[in-house]
Amino acid sequence: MIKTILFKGTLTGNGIVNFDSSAQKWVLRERFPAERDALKFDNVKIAKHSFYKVGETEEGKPVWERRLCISADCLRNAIFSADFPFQNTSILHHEELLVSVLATPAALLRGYMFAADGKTAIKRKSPLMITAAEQTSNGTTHFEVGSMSGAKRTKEDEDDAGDTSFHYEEKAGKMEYAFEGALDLAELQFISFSQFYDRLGMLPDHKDAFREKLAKALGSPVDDVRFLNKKGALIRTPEEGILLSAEQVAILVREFFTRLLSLGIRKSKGYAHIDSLQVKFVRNPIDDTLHDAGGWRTVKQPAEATPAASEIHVSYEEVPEQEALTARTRIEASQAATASVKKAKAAEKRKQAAEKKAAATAA
Amino acid sequence: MATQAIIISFRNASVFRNRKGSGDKALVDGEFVKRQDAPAMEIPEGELDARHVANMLHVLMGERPVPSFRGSWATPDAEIVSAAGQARFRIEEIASQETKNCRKAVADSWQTSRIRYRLKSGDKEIKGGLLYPARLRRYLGEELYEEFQNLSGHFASADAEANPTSHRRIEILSRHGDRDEVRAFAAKCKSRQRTDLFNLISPEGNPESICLHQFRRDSWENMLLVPGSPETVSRYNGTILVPAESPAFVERLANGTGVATFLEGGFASLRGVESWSEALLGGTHPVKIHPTRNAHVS
Repeated sequence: MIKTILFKGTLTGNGIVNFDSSAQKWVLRERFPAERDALKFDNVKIAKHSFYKVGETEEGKPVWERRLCISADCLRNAIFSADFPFQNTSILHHEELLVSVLATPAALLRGYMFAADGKTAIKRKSPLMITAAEQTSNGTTHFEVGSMSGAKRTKEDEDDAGDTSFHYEEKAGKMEYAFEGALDLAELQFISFSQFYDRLGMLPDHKDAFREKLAKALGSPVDDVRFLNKKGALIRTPEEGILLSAEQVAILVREFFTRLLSLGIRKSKGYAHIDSLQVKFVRNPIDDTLHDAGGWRTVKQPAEATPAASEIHVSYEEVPEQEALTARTRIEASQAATASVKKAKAAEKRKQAAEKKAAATAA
Repeated sequence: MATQAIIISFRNASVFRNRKGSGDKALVDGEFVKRQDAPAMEIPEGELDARHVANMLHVLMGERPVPSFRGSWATPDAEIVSAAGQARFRIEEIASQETKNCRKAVADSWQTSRIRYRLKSGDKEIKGGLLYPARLRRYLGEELYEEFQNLSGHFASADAEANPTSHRRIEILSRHGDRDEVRAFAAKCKSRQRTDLFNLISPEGNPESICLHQFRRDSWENMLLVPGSPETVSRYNGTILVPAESPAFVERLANGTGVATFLEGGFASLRGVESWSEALLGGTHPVKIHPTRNAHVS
């Protein structure tokens, strides 16, 4: 039974699509002294990089290699850009809107967090893990001087009529990148309705509206909230939540690969789009690893990366309500006892400190 | 004595360093505290914390991780915590100073833009964004909003204007500001501290002092997530070796899914299990439990 879907892919493109801050110039100046001239000024645009030590100079200083990269945040943003063109915490204020946003495949795949003073925070860890896409081709980047024409905000003096300013910008030609990641099916199939593990995914008051909207999005009825335990886990503390059916998980997997296979980042001066994608189904986590060359399949269509529902491992099992409530009561009693012991210890400590202070004053 | 080593690779794990002080808030046990006052691990550059490794191991073994600082009723698995405390790691730095654009909530985001209102006293640019029915309803409350709708609807139909927007309805009421019913409505607005609307529609109002959308500076209506201050992170790739003293401990990995998140945005995956040997440990360092800043807050 499949527990995780591993994937690795390549991107091709031209130019730079993900920039770092200009403060990165201090790092580049130290590691690449030959480019110091371009890095003297603040008006410099620098791409995101990964750095690797590749040797040492005769003086014992490290020799660095830099590779372009597209950060994982940038990739995630691009994957879900059509679903979330912007984010606004105000949707927490409007309950119907909030439920409509969260009861979607995109929200379940990407994860979310909405927190506000005076409101219960709701959050979902993303079942999607993805690394930054790192340059694999041999192309190198260089700094170019660019000019801009336009009214300057400040002029040095009244006679300064120049309206042209210069800047340095890192440029690149054709680029290839590689990334890897995983879709955790156990995380994907569960939506927490409990604060027990500090991961309340949806407010219980909106349970029915959430189930109704999610059912519409997934095309089949969504199960009710139940007490669930993770199969095989030693920590047997039931958590309230919704367990999606294997068919619904398969739909979400397909939705994800639809987005990933059409991944494209377009900027005014560069672009990168997906070139190839391979997936591997993990049945035994100890043997089927990301680093093992066996079991990878090239996919072109979302359906090729989507396992059959009958093959998806159901990672949770239902716990009878009475048993769950008994376990909860036991834990709460234990926590209360621990808290009272802590409180008593703290009171004793305060008492000792006061006695010590009184003795010192008397002396 | 460890007989086997669980080998875990991680990529793109980021650590925030030198966080900037800001008015930004962090959520600690349901309370909002200033980010710089929130508890945080102080991990020196090139080091890892045993608590992070323990949380990742929980996930790899099919258990649910327990928050290190935030309140939770759950307790961590003692065997996993013990193994994580003896883990060793090797780091390959990939970016010591990368800038990450963190989002932050801006409380008064709506005030920045100005919208032109054609009032009877002349055109005025009023601070605030687009005014739509839901915003106006929240501002006025149900009763005043209903009255506003009825009154403005009456004059709109008299002026043969179909389906006016909330913005346009204010302009219509301003145009008819001399009428008794509008005066009465404006007076009611003023008496209920809705002075901004009074200033807009009443001939006695002062449109110069209006900032209609500044209902309350910290109100939910005005919150907007924007790209906030850039934060500097260090980003690492590396390997973690966790000692396993019994085959049963290794077997617990089969309960997991083989992958987990690690630190900020990191991706950890199980690489395999090998016999514990000195050769494996070359270039590795032990994980530690590092001090916690503002530990008293949690």
